Amino acid sequence: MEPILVVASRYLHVIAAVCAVGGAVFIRFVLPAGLAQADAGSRDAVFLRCRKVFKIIVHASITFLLLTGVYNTLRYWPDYKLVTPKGLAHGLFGGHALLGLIVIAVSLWLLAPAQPRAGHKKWMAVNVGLMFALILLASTLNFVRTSAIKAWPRLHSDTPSDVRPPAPVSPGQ
Amino acid sequence: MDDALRHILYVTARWLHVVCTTLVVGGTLFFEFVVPVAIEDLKKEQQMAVFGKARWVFRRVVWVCAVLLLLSGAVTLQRMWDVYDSERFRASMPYALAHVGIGIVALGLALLLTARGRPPEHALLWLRITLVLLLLTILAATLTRHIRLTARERAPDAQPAQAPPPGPNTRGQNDD
Repeated sequence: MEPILVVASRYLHVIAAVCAVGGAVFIRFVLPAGLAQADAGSRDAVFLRCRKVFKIIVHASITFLLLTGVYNTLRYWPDYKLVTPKGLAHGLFGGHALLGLIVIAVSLWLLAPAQPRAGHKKWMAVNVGLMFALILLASTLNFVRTSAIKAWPRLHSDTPSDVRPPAPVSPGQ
Repeated sequence: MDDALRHILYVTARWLHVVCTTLVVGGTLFFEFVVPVAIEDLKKEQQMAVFGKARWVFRRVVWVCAVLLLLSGAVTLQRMWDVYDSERFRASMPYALAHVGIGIVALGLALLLTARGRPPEHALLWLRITLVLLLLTILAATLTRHIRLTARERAPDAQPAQAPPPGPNTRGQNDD
């Protein structure tokens, strides 16, 4: 049961992020270009309908991101101690979590009213930038954790008894 | 310095891979489920115009992301190949290859759907097939990672006789 839960949690976390980030980029940059063809009245009506559906997607994504994020954190917290230098993984995770909460807050604030707020385009663009930074922190965390894992084949391979396994590799080495 | 550049390359490749995935998959989801609902009240010719223009803009996103996905995927695969090929982590190799194979097929379909000036016949059906393949690609990557981490966790805790004595950062020690 646990392996299924672990895989499902990771998968849902990624899919929820994909929906939220991809949708945000689409509604901010792609849709306005497409709506340029329509008249002003239709443009606003279509945008509002897209925004309404997007709000549902974002709320669902946030729910899944928070639930799976908490589970993943509890599951992988002990692994962060393997990473050297000490505290690096914790720092990256902390940045990822904090930035994630900021992105969620901005998204909810932008989508809360029935009509788009003044300056919503600017704020949405800022939020998309923060999302990309958030993914960068997650990628770096994955990199440092994988670097610790890459050292394991050498540490646990069937080497002759007179060969000493090397020390764990830190990302900065 | 070389090590630093390599680390930057690997982190950047990973970041690009994830960002491009969100753009392609998220955009496809949006195109398939949000846009048709939003434009259904417009006149037919306006629907075609809005959909066509949005498709034209999205085409550029798909093509750029497809190239970046392939490049960043190749860099990451090169980095991780010796791990997948090692005895302890070999169980994750089939899933890694499935991720690559299904991903290439999905990207190929996405490029074909956006290549021509007009959408192909049964465009919505092909879009859904592409979306399912993209979701399966992500699933294969998730399984690869899970098997790799599980293999590491199941590694014997006892160090070999010749191993150096446990230090402050050795697995199993509680630093709190």
